[in-house]
This record gives sequence, C-alpha cells and structure tokens, in this order.
Amino acid sequence: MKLKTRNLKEYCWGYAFVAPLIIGLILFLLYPLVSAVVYSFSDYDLFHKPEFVGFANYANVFKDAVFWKSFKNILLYSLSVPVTIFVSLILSVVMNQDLKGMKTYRLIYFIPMVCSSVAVMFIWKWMYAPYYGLLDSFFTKMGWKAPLFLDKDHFIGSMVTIALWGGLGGRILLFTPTLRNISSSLYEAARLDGAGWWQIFFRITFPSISPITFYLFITGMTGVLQEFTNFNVISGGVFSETTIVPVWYIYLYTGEYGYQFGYASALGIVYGLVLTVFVIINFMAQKWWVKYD
Amino acid sequence: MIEKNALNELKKYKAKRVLAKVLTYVLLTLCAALILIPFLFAFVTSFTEPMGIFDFKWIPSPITTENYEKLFTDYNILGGLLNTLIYILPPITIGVLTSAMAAYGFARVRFPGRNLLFFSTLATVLVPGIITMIPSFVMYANIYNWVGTPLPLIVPGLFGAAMTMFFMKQYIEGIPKSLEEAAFIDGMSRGGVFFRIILPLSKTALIAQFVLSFNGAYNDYLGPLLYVGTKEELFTLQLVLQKIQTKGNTPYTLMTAGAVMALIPTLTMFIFAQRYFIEGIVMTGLKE
Repeated sequence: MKLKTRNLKEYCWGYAFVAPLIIGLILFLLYPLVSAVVYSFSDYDLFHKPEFVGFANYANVFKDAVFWKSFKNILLYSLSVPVTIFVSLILSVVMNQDLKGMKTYRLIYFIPMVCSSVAVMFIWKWMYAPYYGLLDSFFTKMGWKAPLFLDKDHFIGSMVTIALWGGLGGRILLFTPTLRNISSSLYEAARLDGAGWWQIFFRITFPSISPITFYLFITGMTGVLQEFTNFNVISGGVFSETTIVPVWYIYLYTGEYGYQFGYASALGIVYGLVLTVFVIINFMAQKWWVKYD
Repeated sequence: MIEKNALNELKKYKAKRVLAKVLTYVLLTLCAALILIPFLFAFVTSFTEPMGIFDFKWIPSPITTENYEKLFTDYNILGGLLNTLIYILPPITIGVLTSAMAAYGFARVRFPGRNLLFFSTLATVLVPGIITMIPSFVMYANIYNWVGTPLPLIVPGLFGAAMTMFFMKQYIEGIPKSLEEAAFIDGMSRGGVFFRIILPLSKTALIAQFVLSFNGAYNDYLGPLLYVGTKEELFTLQLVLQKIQTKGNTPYTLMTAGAVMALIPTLTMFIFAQRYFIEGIVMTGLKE
C-alpha cells in the first residue's frame, strides 16, 4: 500500500513536470496542424463559415504558376547549402592544425551568424547597390563591367553569396570538434601505407565527418527552403517573379492577396509535405554514404 | 655524404612546413577580411552624409552622426528595442525553464505513458513550420482575437519548446543519479530536487539555450510582421528597421546606421557570452 502511494506521487510529479510543454504543444501546434488539414479542404475567408470543397484547393496548387516559380527560385537558392558546407569543410580542415590564432579566426567567421537578417540584408543591399556600392566600385577598379547584382539574372547568385558569407562560421564550429577527434594514429598508419592526401581525405576524414555533414545538410536544407526574411528585406518588401519564395507567397494570403485561408493552408501542406518527403528520402539514402562509427 | 643529403631533406621538409604555415595564415586572413569588409563598409557609411555615398570614402569627410540622430528623432528605434525586449524576455526565460522541467520529467521520473509522450513531443520537431503558419494565424485571429497584439509572439513560448527540452534532457541525463538519491534520503521532494539540484547543475546548458533563444527571438522578423506588422506603435526593432527603406527609396546611410544599432545588442552578447554561444551550438546544432 505504501509503495503504491509512493508510485502515485512519483507519477504526479512526472505529469506535472511535462504538463506545460505538452499543453503548449497541443494548443499551439497540434490544433493548428489539424485545422490546416480541415481548412485545406474548404473555402474559408475568416468571415464566412468554412465551406467544404474537396480537393479543389490541392488541384489549384498544382496549377499555380506563381507557386511553382517561387519553388524554382528557392531550389536554386538551396544550392547555397552544399556550397557552404563544402567551403566550411575545406576551411575547417585547413584550420585543424596546431597553429596559433585558430580560435580567433573561428570567432570572426562566426560573427555574421549572430546578426539580424534585416541588418545583414541592409548591409548587403548597399554592398550590391548599382554604381556606388562597394562591389560595383571594386569591379570598376579592376576594369571589369559590374553587373546589376540584384537584377533577375544575378539575384539568386547574389543571395547564395550572402548565404555563404553568413553560413560558414556555424558549420566550421560543428566540424571542428569532429575533425579534432579523429585519431592521429589513423593518419599515421595511412601515411606509412603510402596513402596520398586525397586518399586520406576520402578514406579517413570523410567517413568520420559524414554524420555531421548529413546533419548539416538536412537542417540547412529544411531551414533554407523555408527562407523568407532575406528575400523580403533585400527586395524592400516588393515581390516579383525573381524574388518570390514559397513562404513569402503563402504569407501573402494573410493580407495582400485577400484572406483565402483554405487555399493558403493547402499551399502550406503541399510545401510542408515536399520538405518532409525530402527529409525522408535523405534519411533512407544516408546508408550509402553516412558512416556511424 | 649521406649526412649531407639527410640534412638537405630536413631543410626541404622544414621549408615546406613553413610555406604551408604561411599559406594557411594567408588564406584564413583573406577569408576573415571578406567576412569583415561588409561590416566595415556599413560602419563607415553610417557616419557619412547622405550625399557622401556618391563619392564614398573610407574616412568620411565630414564625419557625421546625423544618421544616428535621425534614427532617434524620425524613427522609433528605442521604442522598437523596448518592444522587442518586452516580447522576447518572458518567453525565453520562462520557456527555457518549462523546457528544462519537461526534460527532467522525461529523463528521471517514471510515469505511465512517458515514452509515448516523449516520442510524440520529439516528432513535433519534424513538422515544417510552414504547415502551421496560416492556421495559427487564423487561430489567433478567430479564437483568441490576438492578431494586432504581441500575444502570439509571447504566450506560446512560455510553454517551452520541444527542441530545447530535447537538448536539456541530454544534459540532465549526464548528471549523476547519486546526487538525487542523497537528496531524497534527506527528505527532499522531486520538485525540490529539480529546483535545488538539477537546475543549478544545468546552469551552463540553461545559459547556452537562453543565449541562443535570445538571439533567435531578437532577430525574428516573420512572426512580428504577421502579428504586429500593421501597428506601428507595437513594432519590434526589426520592423522599425525595415521601415527605413520604402518602395523605391533606399537611404543607405540611414539603413547602415540602423543596421549598426541593431547589431550592438547581439554582438555585445556574443562577445561576453562566446563560450555559451559555442557550447549551445555544439549542443543544439544550428537552428535556421
């Protein structure tokens, strides 16, 4: 009997500890999640009762040229993720030496990561400004013809550059401890066997860092594919075929594009499913290249 | 002869090492310069007169503070900063605490349904935010009538976050059980153990999570835009900043001054709490 009351007390503590988080998730995540599904099958504008329309919203998503244009834009932009990971890896390998000052370099590379996107975009908008921006002056000084960095042909490239500039520090920070943990005896053995630099990299270094690379790729992609702020701020809040991205497009249905919440929910679900499928495929494909010890 | 050869080889080897060292520093310094130049360019621009940008000089003549003055007189930058702090401090302080509480519950307390609840909580992390953006907006508009108030930015965070809970759990699992057991023998309750033993021992993790959450919330733009974007008196600092540029008008000297102002709080925190930033990132990974 005594044991039972003691157990009961323990259960109560357990539920009490986890209750706030669980309640919060039900109220502010589960409820919207379920209503997303309900709305996506209805015509709903906030002022009238939702009206069931079957799959009409989903059919329209697939015919929505602007949405697919925004999807194309963000896919091109997402190239910044592998590029950033690759450059960070090179820098991390270079920094993985017993040399003075490496910590300082790591801190400098990290600075952009703590800066607000709005501030960073202001700075880069000025960097990219036609005629007077720093890059334009630099190109002119070198005798090259400066392009319009934010026009439709260069916009995504310029955005990728910003992502690279801002994304190195965090990745380097995560590569560093992993690289340091690779046992030096492995390298010595390989060198004694006459392995070259490339062989050492692909046989020893890369397998050891593949889990963190996989992690960086997945989190990077899901983050970048839901990017909004950078695109919105650098284009001054004015969207065009060049600057529109999925989250921004869906956001437009909370005001500018009227209140078509049924359709906007369907857009959100379709895009969310695209992201989820992408993650699942990658988890299945990781057995081909990710080595966990 | 053999000795001389060996000596030459050694010299060559040493020369190679020195060359590699020099190249390393050249590359790393070049990259550091590329990271810092945009900041420097913006910083100098912010002290330049509006017309000075057409003939940019690295040392502006005259050096002016008019851009900064204008930020205080024409834009409500202090109000924006104050709003930001009012909106973000309650959810991140209390949110880190409630997350830690749940983490302790999942890590050390046995109760029926614990695993099911834990894995369901963890699964929510996988739901892409874009799915719930629209229905959340509808919910705050319809059920709570909170659109046009900062409450959607404040209240949900008070309940904690699954991600923070998960990493706090990892940390708490590393605290030896024997410490708790000793406290139980002394008659301390579960609650007492959490507040007097677990929380103080998790200080590093708590601060790291706090620092990262602060940085994320301070820099958030989409959330405030959705919920207070139509009410200028409720603007966060990021929204005040964005208002400096208008359609077709980009006053770069003002924009860069605004950027510099907005960077001061997070950069200061980064300088003083580097350790926690780094620990937090290594512990939590990158949140984007």
